[in-house]
Amino acid sequence: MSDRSHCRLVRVLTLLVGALLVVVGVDTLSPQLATAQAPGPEVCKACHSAYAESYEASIHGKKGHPKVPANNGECAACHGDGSAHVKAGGGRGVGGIVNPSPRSKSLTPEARANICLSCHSDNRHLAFWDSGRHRKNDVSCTNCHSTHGGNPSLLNVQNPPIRPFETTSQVPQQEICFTCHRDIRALVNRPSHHPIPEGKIKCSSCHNPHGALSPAMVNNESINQLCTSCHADKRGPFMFEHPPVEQNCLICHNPHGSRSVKLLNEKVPNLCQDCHDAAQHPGSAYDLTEAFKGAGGTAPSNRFFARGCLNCHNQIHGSNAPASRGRRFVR
Amino acid sequence: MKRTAISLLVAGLFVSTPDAYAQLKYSGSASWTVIGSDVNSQNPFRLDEYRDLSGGATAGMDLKGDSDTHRFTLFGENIGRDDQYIEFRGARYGDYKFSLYNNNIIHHLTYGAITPFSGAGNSNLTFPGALDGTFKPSLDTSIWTPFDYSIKHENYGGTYEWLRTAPYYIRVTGNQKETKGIRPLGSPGTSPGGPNYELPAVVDYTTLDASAEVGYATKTRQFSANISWSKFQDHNDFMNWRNPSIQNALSTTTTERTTLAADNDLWKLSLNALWKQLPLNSVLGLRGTYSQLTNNLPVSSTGTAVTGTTGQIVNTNSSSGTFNGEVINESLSASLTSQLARTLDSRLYWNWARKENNSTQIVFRPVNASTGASTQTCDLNPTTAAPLTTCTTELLHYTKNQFGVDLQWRMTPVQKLSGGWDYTDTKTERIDFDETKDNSVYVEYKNSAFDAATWKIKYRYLQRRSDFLLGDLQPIQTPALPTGQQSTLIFEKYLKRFDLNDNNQQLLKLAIDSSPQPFLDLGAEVILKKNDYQNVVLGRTEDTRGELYLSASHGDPKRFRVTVFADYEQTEYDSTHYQGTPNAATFPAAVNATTFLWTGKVKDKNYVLGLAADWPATERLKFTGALIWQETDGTVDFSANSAQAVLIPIPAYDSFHKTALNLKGTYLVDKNVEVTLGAAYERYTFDDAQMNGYVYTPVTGTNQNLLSGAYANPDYRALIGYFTLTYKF
Repeated sequence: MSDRSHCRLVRVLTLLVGALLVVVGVDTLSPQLATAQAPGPEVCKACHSAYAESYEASIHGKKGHPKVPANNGECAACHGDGSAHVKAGGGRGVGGIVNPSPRSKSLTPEARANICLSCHSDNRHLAFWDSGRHRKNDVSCTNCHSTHGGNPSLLNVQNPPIRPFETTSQVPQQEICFTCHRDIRALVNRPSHHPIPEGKIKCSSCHNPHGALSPAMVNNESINQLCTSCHADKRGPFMFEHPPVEQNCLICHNPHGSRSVKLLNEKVPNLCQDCHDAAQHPGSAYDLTEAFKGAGGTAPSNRFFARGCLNCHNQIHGSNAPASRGRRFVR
Repeated sequence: MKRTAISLLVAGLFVSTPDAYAQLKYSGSASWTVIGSDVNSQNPFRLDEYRDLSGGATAGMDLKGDSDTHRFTLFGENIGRDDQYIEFRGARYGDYKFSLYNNNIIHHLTYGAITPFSGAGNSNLTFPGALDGTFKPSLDTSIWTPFDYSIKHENYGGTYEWLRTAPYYIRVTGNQKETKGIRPLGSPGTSPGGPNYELPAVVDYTTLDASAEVGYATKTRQFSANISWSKFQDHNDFMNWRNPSIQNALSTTTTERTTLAADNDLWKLSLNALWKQLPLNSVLGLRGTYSQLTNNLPVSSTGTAVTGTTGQIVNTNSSSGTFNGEVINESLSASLTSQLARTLDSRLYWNWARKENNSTQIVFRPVNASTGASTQTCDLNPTTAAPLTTCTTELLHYTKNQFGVDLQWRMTPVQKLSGGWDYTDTKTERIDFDETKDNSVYVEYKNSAFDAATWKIKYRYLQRRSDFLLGDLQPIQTPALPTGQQSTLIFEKYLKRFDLNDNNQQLLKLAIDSSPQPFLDLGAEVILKKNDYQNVVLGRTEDTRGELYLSASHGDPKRFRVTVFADYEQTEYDSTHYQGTPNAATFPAAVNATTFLWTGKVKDKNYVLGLAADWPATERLKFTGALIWQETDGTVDFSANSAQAVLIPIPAYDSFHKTALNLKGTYLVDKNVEVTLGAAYERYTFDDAQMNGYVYTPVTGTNQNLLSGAYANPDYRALIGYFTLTYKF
């Protein structure tokens, strides 16, 4: 390589490095915050032994992790300098001790969250915390997490779970969500539901409780892309498409639960009749006479009994069959 | 020796030095469980829809390794059963973390289904009807073949995240899902108006997912690029089945062909960016995504048609022999949160999404293969409603633009007033419809002035306005439309799809949470919602929802804690429909016994009570119990504008009752051994006019239907006993 080429390469590299520094800023070069000279677990343990021991066993107490409180002020990292608290002989809130518990009235939810974010704000899972609904609705980290450990995700399940016998022993994440989302608890208890109580999927399988740019904080840019990430057989592309299917799965389904099979918002044929009326048979009134044991002794209708419309229109998510068979979603 | 072996095993999996793992402190447990159950039911699919409750033994484990620098967890439950779950995860702090897992999900849909077809579980279904010269399957259900509708998903995957070069990181994921089983699939023998046959359709899918992400994350900026790939493979493109409606010689030489899920490939690129600490303490988040979904499949050149009981071969005359599917999804999102003043926060957001369908557009001109004559009504003329002998695939596109603003004003430290506006514009390309505009505003007040309680109230109003291209009429004036509003355009113009129709939606929420004393939490919430669809002639006119939720928890978890909730929800769906021959020029025709306007009111009342308690009776003995009682009453009421039309209400519509009780006691024998003994009782009853009195071979008019029993007779009563021996170390 000639000297001229070498110089050009150095200039290009210098420019690239410079541009990178401008983009990423210089915050990465900043030193860690100085460790506070405050009482550590050996002092706090004297009165708060259970908390100190659980802290030491948790990831927060690991000396091998450069970013955790164990290397950044110990107890003071979250509770503030406890010197005055110790000097005063302890007591709730005495000496300016900070309590980030959600029951504490001394801190606003945002202030509680900021204690955690002082270390975790570079966590990629929390990138959109500020944009999320939880921050807006005064939910802070300690509403869901126990910072002193207990389980891998530090989830803070306080109440005994109200659920049937399940074959799982995993921490029931949904019980934390149900503390606020009571309407969702009611839906998840319906006969048709995703296997959430059974521990096979979690609320966080679909939602990012730490914030997202998408509506309802879902883990994808749209509802349909989220649903078809598991239900890949419904992705298509189809020769014959069903318009609401292409727009939004939630027009027909409630993913949290339903009394009707297949998580349908409303029972078939009523759900179908809300859009289909005139052409062919959808406008018919399917009343009790159309049941297997219909009142009045009339012949039942195979558009009503059993699975109703789906007795024939089986490819309702889209069809690749030719001609009218595909057009009507029957093959 | 044993410790060294475990360390080497773990080190090998971590791809790191054994020395680091020699310092790990191990703890955990291994458990053996025996389950037995006594089930009284014809079809207990609701009991173990996602649970393997079969009698027998299983094992579990929860092994942890922990040091100042490393950790790992090996967790497994239901080992050897249909709902097995195993996960191995670990990390070297600040360097990397990973997980490997196997998650099996069983989904039982129906037990004890029967079918006259042979071949359930594969892609060719037939019956021996020709042997007796009838070309029909036997109606003797006692000789039909029994099978279960059930699907099992087996997931194997893992993640790996490299953090040593922080703030730069790399994350890769992979997953393989095998899905196998049988699902119900109904098909008409002739169409329209023919008999229907419920077929056991084979499910045999493989889905491969992989993604890679590189990123840069600091406290003030984050950037990431993620590329993902997902390949879905259905190992059966078609299900071939002998059509019992065809009773001429064609029955033995030609099968019907139902399309199954098509293979597809999905590529996606996502870019994220985040800037913090901008002026006004602002945070700006951006995201862009681009995905391409493709498939490629042959278009059937022939099919069948049935006239009466005579089958014919149809040439589909498709304009292309291959369907090349391509759907492009693009999205852009932005969010800017700011602190405009010390007590005033704001959020501006924008979401844009576009779906482009570049798939092959195909025209079909089906004709009788022998005579060349047109055999089918393929479609309806959009302006005259006349039958068409050609049909063309309609490729759907849409563009969605959403933007809005949220404002939050902390009036005092204990009072907050919030409000916002959201606007969404959706443009699409359809014959009947092209645009929807949603305007939504809300206001919310939250007060936590009382030491022991916080309450908030929220009101939201949404106005949806849409462009229907086939006319926009005033609400119908029964028994006849006013002069001048009758139209020669197609009947479809009277129909307003509820998901698109003009709508005024109101939502009111009131919630109170209180902790009047330590270890006592109380909560109550009321939700009222109403969708008032505007200018509806035919379709859903209104739906309302009222919900009440109460909850309470009391007690120190270390001594005795009980929690209870009570839920009530009521919904109503009102709609108007037309029974009769569609004719826009005469609509609504003079009413009689067969031609009339009718309304339906679907009502649903749900009640749920829940109770659970944890009672550590002694240091060694702990009792746990949970009870859920649920009841749903669904009904449908009808009315018609014809005295001759007598419509009978449906008194049971997805009505059910369920009681589930679970009691268990756990006793710590010594520091290493724990035993758990538990019993559960569940009872489920279902009452529904569509399923009650289930008949496998119902006759409708002259049509002989053949059903399989999918979802029928789900009542059950079950007693479950379980014993677990856990060894802790």
